[in-house]
Amino acid sequence: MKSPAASPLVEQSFLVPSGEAGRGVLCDLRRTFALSEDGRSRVETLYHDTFDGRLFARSRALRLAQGELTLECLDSPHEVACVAFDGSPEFADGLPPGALREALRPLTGNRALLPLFSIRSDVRAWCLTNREQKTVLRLALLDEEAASGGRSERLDHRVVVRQVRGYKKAFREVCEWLARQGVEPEANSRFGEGLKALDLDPVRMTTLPRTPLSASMSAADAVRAVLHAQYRVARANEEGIRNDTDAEFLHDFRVAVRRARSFLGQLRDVFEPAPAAELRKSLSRLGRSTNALRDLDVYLEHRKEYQALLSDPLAGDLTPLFDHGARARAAVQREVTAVMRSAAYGDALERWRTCVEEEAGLPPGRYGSEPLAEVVGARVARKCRTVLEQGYAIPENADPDALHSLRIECKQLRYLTEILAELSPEVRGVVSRLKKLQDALGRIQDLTVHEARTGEFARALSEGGGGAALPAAEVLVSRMRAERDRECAKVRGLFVKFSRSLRETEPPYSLLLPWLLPL
Amino acid sequence: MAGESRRGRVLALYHLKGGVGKTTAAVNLAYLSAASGLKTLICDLDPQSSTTYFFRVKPALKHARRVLLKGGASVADNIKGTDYEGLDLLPADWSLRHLPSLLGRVKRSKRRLREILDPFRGEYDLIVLDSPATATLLAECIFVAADMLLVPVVPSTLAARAYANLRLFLRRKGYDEAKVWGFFSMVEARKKMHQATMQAMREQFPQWLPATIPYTVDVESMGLARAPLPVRSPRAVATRRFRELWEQVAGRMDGRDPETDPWVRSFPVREVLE
Ligand SMILES: Nc1ncnc2c1ncn2[C@@H]1O[C@H](COP(=O)(O)OP(=O)(O)OP(=O)(O)O)[C@@H](O)[C@H]1O
Ligand SMILES: [Mg+2]
Repeated sequence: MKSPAASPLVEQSFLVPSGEAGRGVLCDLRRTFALSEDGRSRVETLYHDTFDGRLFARSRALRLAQGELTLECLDSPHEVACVAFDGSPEFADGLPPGALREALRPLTGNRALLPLFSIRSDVRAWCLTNREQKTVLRLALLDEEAASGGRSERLDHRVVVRQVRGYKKAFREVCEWLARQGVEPEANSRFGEGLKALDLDPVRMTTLPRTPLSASMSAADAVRAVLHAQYRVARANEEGIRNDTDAEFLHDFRVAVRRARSFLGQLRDVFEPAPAAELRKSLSRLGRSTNALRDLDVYLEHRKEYQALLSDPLAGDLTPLFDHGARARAAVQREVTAVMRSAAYGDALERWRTCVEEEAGLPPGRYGSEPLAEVVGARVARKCRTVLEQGYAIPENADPDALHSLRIECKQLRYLTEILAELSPEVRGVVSRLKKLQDALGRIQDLTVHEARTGEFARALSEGGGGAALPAAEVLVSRMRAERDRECAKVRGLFVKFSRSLRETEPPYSLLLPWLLPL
Repeated sequence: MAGESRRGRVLALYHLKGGVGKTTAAVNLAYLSAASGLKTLICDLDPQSSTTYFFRVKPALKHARRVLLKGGASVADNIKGTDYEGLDLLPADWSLRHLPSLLGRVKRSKRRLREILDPFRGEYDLIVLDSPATATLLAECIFVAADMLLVPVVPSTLAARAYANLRLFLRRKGYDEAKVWGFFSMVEARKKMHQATMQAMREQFPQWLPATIPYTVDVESMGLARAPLPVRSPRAVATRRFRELWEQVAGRMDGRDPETDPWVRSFPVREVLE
């Protein structure tokens, strides 16, 4: 059977400037074609994205309007998928099953969807009828306003001309007439228009905001700018932690704190030692106060993966274990929000702010006026040496304890090289190799911590009379160990690749060369 | 809806008898279907083109002969959007009167309509067929194509006889009677005879939808207004009844398993003719 020709909705949008001229065109349009009014309505469209703009990064926009959630592609205006939906979307996993959920899941990962901005459209419907009083063309006049966070901006008027199936001529005539009046077909997506009008960045905050740095900048100015960027990241993520929106808010907050702390520790004497040490101590406390919550977040994020390590009847026995973990997490979450309300927390962030915003808060030290590249380069070279020494000393089958210190060193090296990467892009290859090595080390660390957690939870459960999880927990622990051993065995190979990437930068060890000579 | 593929159903308004309200019901049910959010196509299979007239569309088919013998693009090209969002029409024209005899000359003719509509089930949630009063090959095409055969019955004298005839026709040809549903149309509440006929027929035959459509001026004047009843007279009694009828039709068609659905029972047709 031959399939029928597709019947796409033939539709064309035109932008009519708001104001006198635009109104004139609309009046003429109405008069010329004797259009009749066909009702009015109001539509609210709410666009969503993750806090770090993951959909936007992949040219997608998610809109909720009239009880439908639609994922659209921004490159070629078409719908990827849609689903009937009431309420406000949160995690992709929580959406009704279907094409939309499957398309969204890999894009958003573990991040929650948050409202980005809305467009309110006042729609006036017009129609063109023929001699039989039959509708042969539909038009919609949209008067629109984009709004976000209490701010709103009018958008250009939009005329949407929609063909009634089987009546091509009327459609063509009206489109041609509009083009003759110099009315432009809409090129941008509505989403793009809204962003532009509101001057919004869908990437509300990244973990690593770009800080414009140059090699000749003084070390104190540059590091202060970097600390400032980290301060802003921490601040931006506070609300998400308090509202428990998703686990990444806390993660990003902690990374910002850790980065700042690491720079203060690594780049000593860029600032005066006493206030730098004070700030560093207060950052350490901030980090520590959230350790427990992060631990549990990571543990629970691995839930599916760990259950998959066990075969079926046993995997089910783990449910009470993870439920116990979730309860523990809820309690710790409450503790963290309490901490965030405390005066000590407020003081710590205020100290951070004064240090990065006021020079008096963190005066330049002995190397403060040296060029950034020199100061960071020297430090990177030293760190590299430590990492290389420790790395080459890894035995064929390293145990986790032996890798602990390497993991910390790598982390510090990573933060420093990220600053260098701002100065010279060729370092990015090194950063990405380093990241692979760190991922493996991080996983080993997670498995070690989670092994202990699993034991704790199982004991707590059996003391409470829920002993069924115990045998399953024992199997899980042994699987975790096996998994960890496999990861440990990979580390050496990853390390070799990393050290090769250092040699392969052009010229070899280029950025580090002056400081690597003693190696 | 993008991503999700539709599997539209086919609802045919049919009776051997003429003037019983097939077109009236087809137009109103198709409208109510679209208004409920289903993408709907109404096909006018009657050369008299009453449905086409209701929707103010010119009764003219391009390549009329090909439309219902070949299908595909020749059908798609003839589909017209109506005044109502989500409701499209395949118009009829006078040349359709040759259709039964043309069908007689093609192979596998009884499956023809079903095969022609099949690809459109991907595009529409519901396809409504308005058929002429006929017992030709076209009628059999409609039986094969329809997921539900909805029969308007005017409870007048001889109504039972005509309905029995219809069911006998279906049975002798071996069609699935589970998809046949009746409802009473053009009912005059004051006429005792109507009440008695309805009661008798409900006992005699299975599968009646409870909604009955009264005989009213509102319905009669639909032809003047050239608009579905809910548009023209949203508050009329007959409109309410058509809404009930639509709810019941939608419920019956809503993917219910005939095996477990208590509505679908296998009744013996009492041979009233013998
Ligand atoms: N409920 C009703 N009340 C009043 N008049 C009605 C009602 N239903 C139908 N009619 C009128 O009866 C006539 C026949 O109705 P309709 O065209 O719907 O029947 P039909 O079965 O399609 O006829 P045909 O066999 O000619 O196609 C029309 O003039 C219509 O307006
Ligand atoms: Mg008719």
